[in-house]
Amino acid sequence: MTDPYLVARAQQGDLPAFEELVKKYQREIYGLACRMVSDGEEAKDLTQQAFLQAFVHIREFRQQSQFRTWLFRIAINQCYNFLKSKKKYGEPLDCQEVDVVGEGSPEEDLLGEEKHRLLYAALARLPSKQRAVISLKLEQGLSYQEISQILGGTAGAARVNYCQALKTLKKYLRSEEEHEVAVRPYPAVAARFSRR
Amino acid sequence: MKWRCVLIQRWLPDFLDGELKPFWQRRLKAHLDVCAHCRQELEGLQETVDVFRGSPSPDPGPAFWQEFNRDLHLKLAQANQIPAPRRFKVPYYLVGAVSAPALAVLIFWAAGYLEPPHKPVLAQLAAPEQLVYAGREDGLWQEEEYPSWDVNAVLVDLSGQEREILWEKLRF
Repeated sequence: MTDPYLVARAQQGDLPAFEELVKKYQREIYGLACRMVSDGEEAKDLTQQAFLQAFVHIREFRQQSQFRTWLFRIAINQCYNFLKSKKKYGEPLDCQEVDVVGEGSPEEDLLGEEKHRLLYAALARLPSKQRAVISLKLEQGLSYQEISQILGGTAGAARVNYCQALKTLKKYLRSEEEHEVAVRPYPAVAARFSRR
Repeated sequence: MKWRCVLIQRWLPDFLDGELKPFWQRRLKAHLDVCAHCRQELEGLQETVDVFRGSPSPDPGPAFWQEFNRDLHLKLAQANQIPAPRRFKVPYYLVGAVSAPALAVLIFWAAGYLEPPHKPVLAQLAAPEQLVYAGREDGLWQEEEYPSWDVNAVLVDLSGQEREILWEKLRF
């Protein structure tokens, strides 16, 4: 069943039709929320809140854009609101970092977890809009036109934001890695950096 | 770093994604073949993209999604039972278009009740002696202010021109 059909059914109050849409997009929205807020439990709450808002306002959706674009816009706004409140009131007490579930050897899991932690630490330093652009472009594979529909502005502005975000993320990743080497000089980590 | 490198490096992210037109893709590739600095920048960006893509968002597992869908179903069912508030939305320009004439009508109606203080219609009086007695009849003079002299006796001594002058002075 296509999205327009499911949306039309949901607009008439068909809850199972909306739940089909939820199952289709829940992983993407959860992944986006994880990248934005770096907290698994908060990402789960924000994802549920995004779907709830979408259901409450589904009658106002006029299908001028794709449902996916509209849903991403709602999710991004929920994440922005959370980040604003976090900035205002500080981190929540029950903050949990996103856990990595690895399937390889313990050494691989450790390196993967380290890389994951460095990436999230660098992402947390990015402005929220750059974080959103980079997640939508690299993880969701959206075009600049679609990103501009979600975040507002033009496709050209989205492209400039993405270029800037990538350069800034590169700089922060390097500074996070150098900080890690200075604090915990593991041989494996040092060997990685000797090539630079 | 040359100015050309600054311009080229702006297009490196699109070059990585292969989103440039073939002409610009070839131009950038030709520049990268000769410029070590831009090549190094490209490698740095490629590494960043690889790190990002190499750490995908973790899948929390089927138990997580079961609980997620159960909680969300309860919230959606609750939201479905609450009737949506009826909103009679009127465009702002219509509100202005209706309220402006209504306000004008109200102002004109209210102004009709606010009459200026009654002024003696002095212009309608023909003769100067009528101006004097009009003040008394219109209640402009108090009783003690009435002229005690005979107005006609005064006026009869005036010539026609003097009457005209008096008439003009009394009018203004």
